[in-house]
Amino acid sequence: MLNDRTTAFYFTILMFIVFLGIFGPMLAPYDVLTTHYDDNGNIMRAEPPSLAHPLGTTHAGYDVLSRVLVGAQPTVLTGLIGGGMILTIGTTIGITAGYVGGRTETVLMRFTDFVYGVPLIPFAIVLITFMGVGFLSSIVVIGLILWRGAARVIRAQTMQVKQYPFVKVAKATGASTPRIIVKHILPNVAPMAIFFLAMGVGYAIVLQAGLTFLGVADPFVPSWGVMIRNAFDSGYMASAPWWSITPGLLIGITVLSTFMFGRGYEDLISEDGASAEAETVTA
Amino acid sequence: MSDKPPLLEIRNLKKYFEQNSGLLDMLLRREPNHVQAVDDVSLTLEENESIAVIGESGCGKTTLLLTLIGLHEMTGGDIIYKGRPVSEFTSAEWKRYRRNVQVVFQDPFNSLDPKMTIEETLQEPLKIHGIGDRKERVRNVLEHVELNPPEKYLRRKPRNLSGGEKQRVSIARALILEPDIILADEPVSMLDVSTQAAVLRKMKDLIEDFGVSMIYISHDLSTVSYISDVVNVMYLGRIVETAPTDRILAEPKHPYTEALVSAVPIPDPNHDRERTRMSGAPRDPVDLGDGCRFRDRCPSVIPPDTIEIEQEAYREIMEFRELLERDEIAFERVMNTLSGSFSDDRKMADAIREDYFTHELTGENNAVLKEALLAFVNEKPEVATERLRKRFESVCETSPRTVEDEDGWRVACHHYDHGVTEMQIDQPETAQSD
Repeated sequence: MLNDRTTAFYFTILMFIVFLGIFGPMLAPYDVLTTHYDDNGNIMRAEPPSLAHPLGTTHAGYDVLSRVLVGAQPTVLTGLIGGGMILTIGTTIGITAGYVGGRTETVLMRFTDFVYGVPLIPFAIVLITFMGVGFLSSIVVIGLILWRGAARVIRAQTMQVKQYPFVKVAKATGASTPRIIVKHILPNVAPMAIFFLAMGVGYAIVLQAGLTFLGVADPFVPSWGVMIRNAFDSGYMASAPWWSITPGLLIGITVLSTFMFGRGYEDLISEDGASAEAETVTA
Repeated sequence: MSDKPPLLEIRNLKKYFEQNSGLLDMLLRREPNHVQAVDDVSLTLEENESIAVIGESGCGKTTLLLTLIGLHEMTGGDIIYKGRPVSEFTSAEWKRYRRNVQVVFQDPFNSLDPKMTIEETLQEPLKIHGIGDRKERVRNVLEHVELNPPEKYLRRKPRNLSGGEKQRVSIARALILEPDIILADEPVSMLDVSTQAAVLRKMKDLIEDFGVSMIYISHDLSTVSYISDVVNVMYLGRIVETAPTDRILAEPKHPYTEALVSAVPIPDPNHDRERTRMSGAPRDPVDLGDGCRFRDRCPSVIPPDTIEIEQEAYREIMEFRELLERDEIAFERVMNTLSGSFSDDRKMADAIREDYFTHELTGENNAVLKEALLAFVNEKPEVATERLRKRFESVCETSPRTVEDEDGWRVACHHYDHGVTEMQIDQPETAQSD
């Protein structure tokens, strides 16, 4: 699967980010809440990058590099939980509606349409006031809304796959509905589902940063989104660009590589030659 | 007739589809239109018999097949499998039926799940019915369809097979459960000609080896003659003729069959033969009503005894009447060919006549047509319809009975229904009332 160079490249980046998510806190040279002082005893307020602080410091004298490393963990978590929720809810609703059809489909799809009508940020703000401001709740809110696109597209795909003769043959041979869904529908909509997982990971990270930026997510979990918000709030955004640019770039790279990896993976499994996949088939 | 019931008996099977009605229709409580895809079809399939259903696209043959495998619900009639009606099946009986009745579809390119290897595809039916010995059976069946050696194919995916190989796998999948009946929907029509022959030959051998009965559905008479003992000719949802294959090809009785047979190409440039002229396309099978369904295209539609008219001229009148009743006369188009005003009725009537008729009529026939055309341009189409009906109504406007003309030869055509000597098989009129 990783023969394809582009996909392998993005996969490496993703692995690196996951690595940061797991080991970042251990690699951090300083504690994230340690204020650093210069030789004269003054706080190192928004110092530009130096040897001791390769990415500079914040306006409170914190080390930016340490915060970036520690912040990787909540960011990766956001991507996984948010993307996972979008994939699970979207695929379940999409396949059920597309395959079962009839009244079930009408109910599910009208509900999806309704969710489409919900403006994301205001809704998140309202929901969070009920669920309480928190790191996890902000991700859950994202997952609860963003499945809508996946549901629609996967329903359409399911309806298409359902029409193929091989599904009719399976039905005529006596395969039950769950069996047809698991054996025939799911594998055939999987490429699209994976694509939506990649998109979902990206969306979740960006939106969580956005929510933090607006102040409706927990500001004390130092994710990359929170860092940008802090930089903005402090008024040092323009004069200390090193503070916000690094986490911003990292969010961008993560989203891009998830997206590109998802696309590459989709291409690879839909062209699946006998060579790569045959070995994994259980005899 | 023996005591044993036939393997599969289809009795007056009907499948109607309701045409999607819009919101407005629903609000006004209009009756939805019915597409009569399969209408009163009766067939019998004995053990080890191979019968064919042929007809042009849209005649309902695929709907018939999908109804037979239970993917469409029947609108009326019944299917009797080994003496048990399908409409009364319990779920255990359904399972048995689904195991014993297998299907091969037309399109080999989409008949196999692209995500499954050949081995998985062939094992699926066995798994569904909880049959063991799966590896052995898969190998066997692959050898039977001449995909040798089986090891070479087991782990391949459909995309790595040619069209002919795919269709062989489809046939293998149908055979692996050792069914009683295989329903084949144009299984070779999408393969190229050299492969067609090989796959057909294989199918023929296999149904003999395995003792399987087959219903073979096709539009292609030349393949049908190779594989089937009996041919059923279907037109717009009804079976119009049933006869042993070789005889139906030699001397077709129903005018529609005649047209089909004369359309089979003969690979001899010097061969000259008379072709049966068949114009137009079949009607939409929507709310067809009574009467022979082929009457608007029939080259030998029967004029009433009371009038004297040339066959060709009569056909034109019948075609015109049909259009008139369906309100499909291209009045505007004809008027556009007229220069000047719309005031002169006679001129308008003549223009329509010129557009739709080429044959001369004489005497009373001519007078009636003139009268009718005048009524039509005076915006009284009902009067025109009535005039023409009174004069030219054909016996073909009542549904013909299916009569057994000779041994095993059934035709539903008024030309062969002389009413006295023949045995009456069924009467569509009575069945239609429900």
